[in-house]
Order: sequence, then C-alpha cells, then structure tokens
Amino acid sequence: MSHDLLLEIGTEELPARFVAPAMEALRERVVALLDEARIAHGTSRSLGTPRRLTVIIEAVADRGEAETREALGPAASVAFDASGAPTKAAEGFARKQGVAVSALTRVATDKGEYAMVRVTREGAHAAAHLAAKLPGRILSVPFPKSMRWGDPEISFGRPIRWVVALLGDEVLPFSLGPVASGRATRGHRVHGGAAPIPVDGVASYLAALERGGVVAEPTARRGAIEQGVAELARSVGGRAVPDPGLLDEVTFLVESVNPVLGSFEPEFLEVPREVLLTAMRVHQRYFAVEDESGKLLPHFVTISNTRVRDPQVVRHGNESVLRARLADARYFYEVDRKKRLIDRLDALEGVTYHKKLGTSRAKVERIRHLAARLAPALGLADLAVVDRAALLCKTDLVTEVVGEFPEVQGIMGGYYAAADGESPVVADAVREHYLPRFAGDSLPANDIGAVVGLADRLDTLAGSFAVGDVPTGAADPFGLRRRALAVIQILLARGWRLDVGQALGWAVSGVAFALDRAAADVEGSLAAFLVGRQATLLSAEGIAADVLDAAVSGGHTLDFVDAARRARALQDWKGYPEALDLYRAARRIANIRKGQPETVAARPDLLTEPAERRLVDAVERLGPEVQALADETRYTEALEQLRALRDPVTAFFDTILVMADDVTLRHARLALLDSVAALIRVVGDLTKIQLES
Amino acid sequence: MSSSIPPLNFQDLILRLSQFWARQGCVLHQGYDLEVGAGTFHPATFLRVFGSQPWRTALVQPSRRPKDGRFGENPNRLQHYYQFQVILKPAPDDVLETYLASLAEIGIDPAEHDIRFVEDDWESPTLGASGLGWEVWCDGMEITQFTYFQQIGGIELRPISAEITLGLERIAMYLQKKDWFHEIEWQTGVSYGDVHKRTEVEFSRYNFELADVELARASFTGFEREVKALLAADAVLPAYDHTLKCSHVFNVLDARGALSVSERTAMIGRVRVLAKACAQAYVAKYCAPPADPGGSDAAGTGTGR
Repeated sequence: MSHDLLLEIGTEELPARFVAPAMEALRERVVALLDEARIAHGTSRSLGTPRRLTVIIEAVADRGEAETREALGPAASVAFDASGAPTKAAEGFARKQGVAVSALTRVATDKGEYAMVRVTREGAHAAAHLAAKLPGRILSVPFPKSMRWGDPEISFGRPIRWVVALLGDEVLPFSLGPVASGRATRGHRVHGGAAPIPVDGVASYLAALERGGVVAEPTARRGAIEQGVAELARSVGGRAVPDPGLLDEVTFLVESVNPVLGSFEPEFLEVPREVLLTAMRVHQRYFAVEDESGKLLPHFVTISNTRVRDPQVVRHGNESVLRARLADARYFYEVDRKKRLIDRLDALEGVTYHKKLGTSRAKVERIRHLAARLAPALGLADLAVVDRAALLCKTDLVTEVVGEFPEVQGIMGGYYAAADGESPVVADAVREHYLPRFAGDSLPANDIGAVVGLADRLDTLAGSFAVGDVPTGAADPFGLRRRALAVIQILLARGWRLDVGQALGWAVSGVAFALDRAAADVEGSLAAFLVGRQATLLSAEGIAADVLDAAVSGGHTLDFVDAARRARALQDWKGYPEALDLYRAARRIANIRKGQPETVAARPDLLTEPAERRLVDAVERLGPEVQALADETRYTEALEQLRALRDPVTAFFDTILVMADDVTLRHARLALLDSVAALIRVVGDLTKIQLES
Repeated sequence: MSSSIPPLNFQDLILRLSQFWARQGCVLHQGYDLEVGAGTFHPATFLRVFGSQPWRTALVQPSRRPKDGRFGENPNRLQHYYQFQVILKPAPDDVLETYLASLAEIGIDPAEHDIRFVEDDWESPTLGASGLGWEVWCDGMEITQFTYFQQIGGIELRPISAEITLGLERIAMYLQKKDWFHEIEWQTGVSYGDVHKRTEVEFSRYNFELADVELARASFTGFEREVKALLAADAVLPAYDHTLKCSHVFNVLDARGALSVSERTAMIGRVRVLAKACAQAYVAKYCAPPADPGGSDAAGTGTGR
C-alpha cells in the first residue's frame, strides 16, 4: 500500500529571498529520508509562499524494502569443532547478530572458510520513520539568517506557527519546538478567515488553500503577476520595464496576486531614469512602465497581497509614498547640480573607505597613481583624460542622490560630470568604471573607464589582502572574488596584455603603509587568487583547473590574455595520442634531474648512440620552430609540432641509460634532457596536467 | 468598522493604542524622562528583556535624533518625535495577529489596505544588539518596525521578546491624509505644529549651530566616568541612565559636525562598552543564569515595580 505525503511548514512571513531555496531544501530532505529507508515513492514537488513551505510526495510506500546483509563471523575452524558442532565463539556471534546458532552457515572466502549468517532487517514503517526523523530534517533547512524563538527554543528563518504532516489521511505526529504537527492549515491572513482549516489529504489541502485565497504554486503566482503587470501597463499605453529579479522577489512577497496601477506627476520624469527605477523597484518593489521607445511613463504597478474592498485606497497610499520619495530625489538632484564634482574632492576626506586603508580621498589618490602606470602599459595615450576620470570617479559618493540611493553610484557621477562640462569620455568613464557590477553585467565600453576600473579594483584587492581581509570559504564580505573576476574579464574583453605580476607590484606598493607582512607574500597570494578566478572563468569553457595551472606554470610572465590562449591550446593537447608519453617523459626527466648538478655541460659530440642522435636532431629541428610559434602565441600549432618529439624521446628512454658511470657522458645526456624539458615547457608545464587518473 | 469613523487625532491615536495594549496585559509605562534616540533605550525595554520572567509593556517614548532635525522645514523629518513601543516577553504565538488587530483598532483595517511584512533585520552597534523581523508596510508605507530581539548588550536573550515600534507621526499623517507633520491634528483645533513647531526650529538650531562642543565633550567624559563609578558601586540603573546621557551627548556632537570619522567610531565604541557593561551588570544582579532551568528573575521586585 502507498499514500501521498503532505508536509506544510506554516510560518510567519519569511523573507522573499528565503522561500524558493528553503522549499527545495525541504523537498530534498524529505526525499532523502524516504530513500535512506528504502521507502518507495512517486514524484515529489514543493510549493511555497511567504507563509508556508510545502512538500508533496506521491505514492509513498507504507514500508521500506527489507534489507538482507551477510555478516561474516569467526573462521569456520574456530566456529565449529571437529564434529561440526558450533563452538562458544559461534554462539557468541549468533547472539550478537540476533539469530539462532542453527542459522549459521559456512562460506568460502579468499582468506579461507568462515562462519556466516544472512540477516534480514525488516523495512521501516514509513509513518514511524517519518515522524521520528522529520523534525531534525525540517530544522536543518538552511537559511541565510535564522532566528531563535519559542519554548522549547528552536531556530528557523522565521517562527513556525503550524505544521501539517499527513501520510494519506493520517497525521504524522511530531513536534517542532512548541508546535505539534496536525492536519490544520491556514488560508490567507485576510481572505482565509481566522480559523485553522482541517484537511485530510493532498487534494483537500490544495482545495483549502484555493478557497482560502492562497496561490500556493510559485510559478502560478509569477505568471499572474507578469500578466497583471503587463495588462495594467498596456492600459496606459506602455509596457512593463523587464525586471526578472523583481518578479522573482514579488512572487515570494505575496500569497495572493492583486495588481494595482498607480501614477505620479510627469514632472518627476526629469529626474534620471536610474533614480526613478531605483525608487520604484528597490525601495517600493513597484514595476516601472515605459513606452515603446523605452522612455519611462509616469505610472507604476504594485502587487497588493490583499484583494481590498476599495483598490483606490491602496493606489492612493502607494502613490503618496512614491511621491514623497520622488520629491526627495528631485530635490537632491537639484541640490547636487549646484556643486561641481571636482569641488567635492575634499568631502571625500570625510568618507572612511576602510579603517586601515584610509579615506575615500586617499583611495582616489591611489587609483590615480595606479591608473597612471597602467595606462601607458596598456598602450593608452591620453593620460590627462585617464587622470581626470580617476580624480572624479568617487566624487558622487558625497552627493545627496547617492546618499539616498546608493545603487546609482557611478551613474549619477556620469550625469553630474556631463552637467559640469567634463568631456563625454570622462563622464562615461566615471559611470563605467564600476562595470561589471555583478555576474552577467555589461563591461566598460570605453578604454578610460576600463583602466580606471582596473586601477580601482586592483587597489581594493591589494588593500584587502594587505590588511588580511581575504575571502574564506563561502564568505567574501568585501566582494573580492567578484572584483578579481571583473579585472580578468576586462583584460580579456579588451585583449589587454598586462604583466599582472608587475601591476600587482604597483598596487601593493600603493598600500605599503598598511601591510602586515612582506609585500612579496601579498603579491604572491593575490596572483594565486586571480589565477583561481581565471580558473572559474575558464571552467565555463570546459577547461579544467589543472590545465590552467599548467598554462601559468611554464615560467613565463603572468598575463591573462596569454594564459587563456595557452590553456585553450593545452586543453586540446590533452586529446593528442602523444600527450601521455610526453607527460611521462617530462615527469621522468624531472625525477632524473633530482639531486643532479643544476648546470651540466652540453656535449652533443659525445652523444653517438643512434637513439641519442635521433633525439638531438629532433630537438635541434623542433626547438626553433616550436619557440617561434609560441612567440607568436600560436600555441596550438606549437603543441602540434611537439607531437613529433614523442617517438625520439620514447626510443631514447628505451635504449639509453642516462646515469652512465662516466660523469662527462652522464652530464651530456642530462643536458640533452634539459633541452627536451625546456621544449616541452614552451607552452606550459605539462607535468601539471592530470593525464593519469 | 474603521473606514466609516473619522480619522483619529494624535492623542486619540495614542489613547486607542494604549487601551488596546493594556487589554493585552501590558504595563502602561510612560516615556523615559531622559533624552533617548528610540523606545528601545527605555529601561523597560533594554533591561526588562533580560531574564526569564514574563514582561509586557507599552509606552509612548518621545525620541530625539538631533541629526534628523530640519528646522521644521521638511514634511516628515523631525529631531523630536514619538514612538509607540510595545514589548512582549516571551513573544506569544499569535503576536502578529494581535498586532494586526491593533492596526484595525486605529483605523487601519487589514481588509482595506495592503499590509505587508517586509524583511528588515535590526542591528544596533551602539547597543551590541540585534534582532530579526520586518518593517510593516501599509499601502507601501512603512508604519512599524517589528523585531524579535535576539541579542542585547552582547547577551543572547532567552526567552525571545517581540518589540513593536510604531512611528506615530507617520501613522497619523497617513490616517489624517496630511502631507506635513505640522498639519497633524493633535486635539480638536490644535495641530502638531502648534505643539511642536517651535521645538523643531529651536532644537535644530541648538543641535546644528549652538551646542557648546567643549561642554558636550566634557559631559561625555564625565558621564562615562560616572557610569564606571556607579557600576563599581553596584548601582546598575543609575549607571544605565548615564549611559543614555552619553549616547545623547554623542548624538548632539555628531549633529553639530564636531566629530572626525575616527573620533565618531571611537565614541560609538565607548558607548557600546558602557551599554554592554550595564547589561551584564543588570543580568548578574537581577536575572538568574539562563541555563538554570526553572530559574526566575528577580527584576520584578528588585527594581521597585
């Protein structure tokens, strides 16, 4: 027999961002609980709103499958006496296994004959198993932040107020802190009535929620919101500004979907679009409306969680809140434009960037110095423009609009710089130096913004590493991984061949005053950290970390554009039939070289054996060719050429004993192998690639 | 029920809330007679949430935030305003339902408005305090801070208290459909502006322009010394009072623009040290250790309730 399982954790309003991950985590935990006990079940799904996390699993078997295992006892010679009767040892074993001694049999193993018994364990009763184990699993659902409450005290994303746990129509009895499981769910706070609603299974539960005014299925809510917003936007001749993130958030802010259109005074449209959007979407969770050309219209759509008696009340309330925010924004925008950005530099003295790294003003100076060194290294000519952009890039932090709406930093700087009469490229650079702000964001379109952005991030990275604020595990409070990734993305996108080691040296010297250890240590950790980020980036292309490791370990200058090219070539190389032999050869050479003098005299004239001659010829022939290709960064072709080295190398190791008694000859052979090793390393250190599993 | 009745004036709003929460068993306290930045500083909140003895209180706390002063020229920014503060220890299971009923009581019927609980966790570095909860929105406007205190003065609380804080001016403006705080009707024929416009102008001037910086600095140091001396003499409640005085003097200095960034950080740190010391002394003196099962705190008798 089987029954459907229904589990609903009723909570006070969970933060929107908690719900979807918690639904899924809960479903996984319940499924795992069944699987562990070999309890067969059908499909599982999860539902959720701010007030409930629900898991439904169809056709859960009443019992788990029985499990039979073979337990090995003492050796047969110990377990049975000469007449074949069980000994004390056999009796002890049987007792331990909970079987009669007569159940013991003999089994032949590699180590001889042993006493053995088959023990069958009945499958667990699903109901008892679930009731016993669910509380622990439910309370282990992870949240970004948990809170404690109740007596007995427990911890969850928000307080749990009821639990529905049914297998078929039977309650699975357990407690979560002060809350006992039962069969009573609750509807929407307003539309569902105050009384708990008893249910007797999945169908009656879903019907109860529907009657109780709850749309429990997130995709259904999301669809209703999207459709409702689109319809209201159309009613004023516009369309919703696409915003999947907001749609996701609002989906988990409501249990019932009631779109309400609101409007604001058209005069507010003179405030920059980004500010209006921030006020609407970030502060109020409203959907913005634009016309066909993408120009904002003075309307918005909010999703009410309640189907109120008079929607005009909700409309007016929301309009007056937005009006107050926009009035503030417009006022701040007007005030800000009365003072030029360049005149705000001093105010940056009052903004602490980091307690050990000084003020934002000091950071601006570091960005300028770093940008002044990076720009020529990257082939940029207009250093005055770079310096102007660097000087102004943080000044909008002390404007009123950015104080009120931190999300538009940089964007406001761009507007204000243009209004101040700064050159368009400077205004763009002030805006773009923050790009990319998040994964998938666009990159700077102009060189100036890109180089200022590099300088800003390299300084941030160097400063954070200097004072020991480095990411640990999943924690990265200063967003350093994102910043490091941005550095690499910018360099790759522009094809900028930057000597990263040198640039890190400049960046670290800028924060030398804050160093708590040797500069070289910090530079080394930073380089490794950046390479780690590039590995993440390349893994999206199917290039494994060991391949990138090989690409940056050949002893050449670290340069991400170059490293990416090398890594791609080495990735292909892994597929060549010769790869494994050359990899082994390289490792073998490294082993042979251990303990030998660092420099040995090359004496090709002494190498007269055919296998020696053949390898000498191959190195002389391939060496210049491969090197020339590598110099032109034609790494794939260089590795292609290298394939020809396989046979001479193999033949050499097959027939030649490197460690000859004669020192001169031994050194001559080692010198030859050194040249082979150098050749194999031209593109990367092949020994770092994991070819042998 | 509520849409048909005329909107409450300011004092009726306070009366209705007080009556409602009194019916929930709250001790109707009065606002504390020292300058504080929020109801959370009231000893009936800050200290009473420690220990295991149940405690319910409701009060109106006049609150001062010198930096928020705008000489009465901003529609809703004030350096002096009123918070309605409720503490329920332990937080009852139906606390949100009770809270929603309190809104209906003042004319905000959840069937007529879009009431939302939007994630908003609370943290006060000055108090070594943190909690989780929501800002409650009514038709998009924040009307309440709802917090389950988790930690105060660096001490983990057990049981957990719920703190409900309503910004009375905001709610009154909303109910009375006023755009400016001074238009709020306080009592028939008397506006909020009649009562407080002068306060805003004069104290904005004092906070931003007139406050004697040297006197304030000296006061801070003096009050700080007093806290330490009082704690050494086992006088926890007077010590806590002087911590509040330090906190307010700091706020004045901050509004006055007298503090450098590092000085500001350092002063916040000094207040935190005092607040934590008071919290620890209070717990040691009046509350049984949380680990002690069945232990009760002696605060009820010890502080002359």
